[in-house]
Amino acid sequence: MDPLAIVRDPLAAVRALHAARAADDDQEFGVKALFADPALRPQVPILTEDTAEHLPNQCLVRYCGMVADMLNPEYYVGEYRRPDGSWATAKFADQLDEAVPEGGETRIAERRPLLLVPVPAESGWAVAPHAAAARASLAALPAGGAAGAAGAGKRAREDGAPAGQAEEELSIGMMVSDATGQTAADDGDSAASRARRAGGAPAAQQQEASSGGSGTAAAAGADLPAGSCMVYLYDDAEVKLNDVVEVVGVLSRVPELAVAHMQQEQGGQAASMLLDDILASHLPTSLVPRLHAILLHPEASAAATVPAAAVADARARALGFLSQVLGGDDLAAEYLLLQLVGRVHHRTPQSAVGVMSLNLVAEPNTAAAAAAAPPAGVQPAQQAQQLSPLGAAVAAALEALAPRCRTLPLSIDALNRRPWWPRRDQNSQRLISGPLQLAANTQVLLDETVMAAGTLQEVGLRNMAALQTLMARQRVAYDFEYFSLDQPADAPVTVLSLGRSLLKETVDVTLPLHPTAPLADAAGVAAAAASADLAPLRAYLAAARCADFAIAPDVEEFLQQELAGARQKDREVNERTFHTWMNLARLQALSHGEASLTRERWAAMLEMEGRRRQRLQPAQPAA
Amino acid sequence: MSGFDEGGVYYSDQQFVSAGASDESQLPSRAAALAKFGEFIRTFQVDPKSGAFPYADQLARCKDRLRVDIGHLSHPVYGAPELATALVENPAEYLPIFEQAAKQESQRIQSLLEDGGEPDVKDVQVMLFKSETGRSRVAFVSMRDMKPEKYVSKLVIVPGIVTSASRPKHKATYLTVQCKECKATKRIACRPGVGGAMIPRTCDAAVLPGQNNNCGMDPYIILPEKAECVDQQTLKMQERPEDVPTGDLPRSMMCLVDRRLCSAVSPGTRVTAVGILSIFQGKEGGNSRDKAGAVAIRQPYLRVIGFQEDVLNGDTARRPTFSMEEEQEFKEFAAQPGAMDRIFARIAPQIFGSPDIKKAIACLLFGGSRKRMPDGTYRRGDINVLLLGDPSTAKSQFLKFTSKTAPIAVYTSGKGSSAAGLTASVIRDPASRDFYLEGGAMVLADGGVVCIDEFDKMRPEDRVAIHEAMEQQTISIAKAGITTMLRSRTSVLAAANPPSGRYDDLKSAQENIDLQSTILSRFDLIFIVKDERSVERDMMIARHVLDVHRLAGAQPEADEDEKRVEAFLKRYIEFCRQQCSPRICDSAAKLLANEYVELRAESKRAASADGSDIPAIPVTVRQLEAVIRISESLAKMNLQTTATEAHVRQALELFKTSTMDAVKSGLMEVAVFTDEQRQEIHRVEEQIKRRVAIGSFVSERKLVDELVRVGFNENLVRKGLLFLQTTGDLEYRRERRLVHRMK
Repeated sequence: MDPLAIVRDPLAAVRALHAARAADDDQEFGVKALFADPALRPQVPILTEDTAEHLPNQCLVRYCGMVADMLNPEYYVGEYRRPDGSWATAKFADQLDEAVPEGGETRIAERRPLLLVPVPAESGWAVAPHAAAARASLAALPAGGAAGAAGAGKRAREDGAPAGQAEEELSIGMMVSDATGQTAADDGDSAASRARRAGGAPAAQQQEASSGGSGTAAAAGADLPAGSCMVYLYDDAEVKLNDVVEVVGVLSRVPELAVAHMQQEQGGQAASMLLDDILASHLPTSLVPRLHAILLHPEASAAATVPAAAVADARARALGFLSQVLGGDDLAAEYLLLQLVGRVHHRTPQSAVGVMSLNLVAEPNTAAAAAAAPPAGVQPAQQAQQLSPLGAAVAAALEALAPRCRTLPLSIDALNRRPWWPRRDQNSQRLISGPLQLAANTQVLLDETVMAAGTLQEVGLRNMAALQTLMARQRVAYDFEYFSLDQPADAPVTVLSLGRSLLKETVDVTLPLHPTAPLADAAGVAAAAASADLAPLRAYLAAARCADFAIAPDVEEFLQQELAGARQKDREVNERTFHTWMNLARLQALSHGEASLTRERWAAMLEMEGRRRQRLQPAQPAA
Repeated sequence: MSGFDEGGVYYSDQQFVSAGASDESQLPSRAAALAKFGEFIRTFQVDPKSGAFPYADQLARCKDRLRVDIGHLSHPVYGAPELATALVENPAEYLPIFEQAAKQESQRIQSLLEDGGEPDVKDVQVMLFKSETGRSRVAFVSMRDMKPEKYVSKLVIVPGIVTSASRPKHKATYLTVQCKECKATKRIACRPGVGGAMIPRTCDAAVLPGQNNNCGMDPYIILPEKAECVDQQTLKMQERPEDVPTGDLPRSMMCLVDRRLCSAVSPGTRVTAVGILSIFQGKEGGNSRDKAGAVAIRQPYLRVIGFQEDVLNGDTARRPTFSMEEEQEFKEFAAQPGAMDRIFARIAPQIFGSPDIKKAIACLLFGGSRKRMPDGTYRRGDINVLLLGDPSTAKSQFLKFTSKTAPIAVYTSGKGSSAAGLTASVIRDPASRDFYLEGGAMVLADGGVVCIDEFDKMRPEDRVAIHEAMEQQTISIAKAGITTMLRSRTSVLAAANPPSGRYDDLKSAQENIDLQSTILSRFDLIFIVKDERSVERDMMIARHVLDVHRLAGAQPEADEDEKRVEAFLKRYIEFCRQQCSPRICDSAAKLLANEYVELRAESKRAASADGSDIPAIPVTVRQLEAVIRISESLAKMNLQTTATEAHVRQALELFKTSTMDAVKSGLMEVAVFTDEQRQEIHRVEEQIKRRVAIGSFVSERKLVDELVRVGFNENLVRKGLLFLQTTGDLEYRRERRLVHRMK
């Protein structure tokens, strides 16, 4: 079949396959094989927040996002018998060309709705190419008019065949006013979401999340970040929460959903919990497009192996870059680099191996502390207004190197304002995301320099506890009202503070900053990042992060002696210190592109720790 | 209820049509089923030798409902397995038959009981449930495995947690409609669940021959006053956390309950529901003109026909319940020789050594008996334990284990980073610019255990609250001018570090313990835990860390067996606490009296040798009570009603190795305390009082430095501070950085 024809009208292809299937009870009938054709992929347009408006209804699209919620499975009429006795499929569609015959024989099937959102806290350099590719992919489609016609042809609606997005929106508006008798109806597509789109960064969305959650029809979907997507899975593909996946599927718009939500809202009373439940998973498609997944792939691990020769060079450059940000503090740059290659290698009930939590302390009366001066909004992408210049600078540096970076100001106000942990709203049955719902490999930066004395409310305290669990065990407890469920996370945490952090109990490594030069500000870091070619550095870090790691038996023997010896010498060295050392040594080796631990790296790590301890000495004479 | 499967599918397709249709031949006929159900109710016995007929008795007792264990029904010998199969395969068909049979039985029983007169027989609601242990061929189905092609309109048994409940509503079972034209009335049955009724579009009243029925289209109107209704309620049930695979989210399911089941469960309850998986067709879009092309969404829901509240992991709001089988198991366990030792072995098994602490924690978990005095006051039965000693000696692990195992527990750290209060203050230390968290009011659990880590670093206010809770078993709350007392029967397990951070053998016990003796005396058992420098132990720790970090060393997250043992212990503790309240027997009491005199003398000797008149840990009547409590808790572990001499001996042994050891450890320092030094300390105290005004704060470091500069020995200055603290003149604040003069 012609790839372009499939892209334009995938459902026709599916139905043709269904009609031609060999066995009557074959549920798959070769759809995957057809759509997995590599020749097809480049032709498929990419669905993003921007391109959503230009894509015709019921065309084939690609979408990439994080699984933010998994809703209850939905039963639907999977197959029905036409009056002529043949079976027809209703897979991959919300609407059909023909009416399902009343009282006819049907087969009920199940599909799983997943709520996908754009990957939270994604760095600018990781987003930009994707957005560009999405725009470019539109060009592969025929011009707008033809696309609109193709979509309209598929729509079995009485009120004419709107040719394009503009008319469709108009028709929604009309229908809404029909239903309510009001003209200025807003189905959630116009003002609010437009404003949000203008606002840009998905991170800004999180600020609004607290307002949602009442679960009323009016707020349906309004708490979701722009560019979210409801994906229906038709097979048993294994998907986990917070996975980043790419979906190839049929785009579907159902304007009637907005009307249903409007009516629900106008009705005022809760019709029935059953109906509420259906509506909760059927958000207005103008806000949250629906996608019927045919193919689902996990995120492609971009880590190509970096040649050994390039590793040393890239490492030196990365160190230089970080050191420049931290005012020439090489030791701090070294620790921050290790933080960037951290990944959860495996977990035990109490801890996660492969990551550490780092506390960079800007000591009083140093150049670094001066950075805690009144904050000046510089960085546009993040909640800059709440960060100190130092925080903004480090955030910019992490963003320049790491694919995902969540920066959170740790102030009384920010902590008390809303829950940071994700929780389920029992009314809407959906998960209300929080800043701590993160995809794997996200750097978390906590800026504690903006902290001031005050009172933490219950929410604030629970936020602190959530941060501690994340730091100590790399888990986030999701709140389900009657119980909470720990979900694994993979997000190394760095805390910036004046004095030791409030989270000192769970911080593995505390390091006072000793800058020799003035610290860079966010704008400076951004400029430096823009001017330098950071691509090899990012590739190097990605490769180091993904690499496997092992400890040889003979080295293990040596380590056991080392650890026990250290404890004999210094009683302050305890089990926790051992863990930290092992993690540091592991990261040290990985950052050099090595897959196993050697005695040299161990020695280097101990030397590094020695320098760090020296810095800690004068700060705590009493200890 | 028959007839619901007729008519064209138009609005609600209950999918009951095809159910069981294929194997109808194997299922019993209606008449046979009716007879068999009746026979089952009449004749079923759990124990054929007894004269108890549980279901017939139940029907005689409550005439309008019958709770049937599906495990009983499917019992191959005593039950009626073919009926169980029929119920599972086609519940919509056979449940009404069951209810009809129950009604007939009810009628039979009542006419047997009351002679003469027609008894008023009510409809019987049959509720099916599955008990924890009931062997049934019907397996649990998790919400995750409920696939439409397999389970729709079948009977399923689903465990879950009820998360919300709607207000009960009325739902019609029979409607009466009347034709507008000819006034003929007609009774129509409504479908069960959320299904509605089919109102015919034309009047079908019998017409006279030769006459045309010309009532027209849609002539019927509903007569609301003649409708028969039942209560109906919608519940939302969520998957149990243990059923959710890692990286997935719990699913939920709508449930519909009716009649007697309405308002029977409240949100938060764990239940195992037996119900029919049904399907509801939502009016998606609500707009008829677009209905035609829309893919029909079907909403699954469970039409519940019975609940069993889970007894395991019961929530704390109500008294725990135990099944007969469980009770039997517990009694067998207690009767076995060495039961006590096996309990000790199950206390914090991951911690190596420290057998005495484990025993003490077992005592704390089981608790002694609460006694009512003739004057109406109560003596506490809770046992308080203090672990005192070096860092990294697994103290916190003991606390965590206890908070995990006790039925009700609060874990808190005095240092405040994990403040257990509802709010906390963030405070900046002006010197270091570090921030600290100071917890708000502590929340104490009634009937539970409070585990307090870093007890020494606790705020004085909280310590006072604990103080009261430990002895008076109440907490006072003063708010808006009103003081109220709340019950708080709480055991305290506390861990504290010595003031210098490490137990110092060169210092006296009092200096090392550094808690007011009023607080110390509230602890029944005090352990001094020292970190022993052993290469072997260090090697073991290193080995453990390496195992964790080796790639292949990824441990499974606590295997099944371990979890089962843990769950058993938890339940057993709950059971013993609830069921058993032992008293000490006479001979044991006598033995104890003699020992007490001996103990007191020993403590006196220790104190007088010390030169001071107050021993670090006083031995008073409180300690006598402590030994009694420990003996009782030991008896409780064996589910015995009296504490025997053996129990008392064991309790005394435990008491001697812990608290008395702590008392004696003060002996080491006797010689240092000369008269001269005591005078010196008095001078120090004076100097301190002069420097620190009442109510003011001073940095400890600064104070000590100043006094040393004036010429005092630093060691003595610290001792002086300590004494002032014990007398309550001074208090430490902010993790011992500040000194606060109280009086």
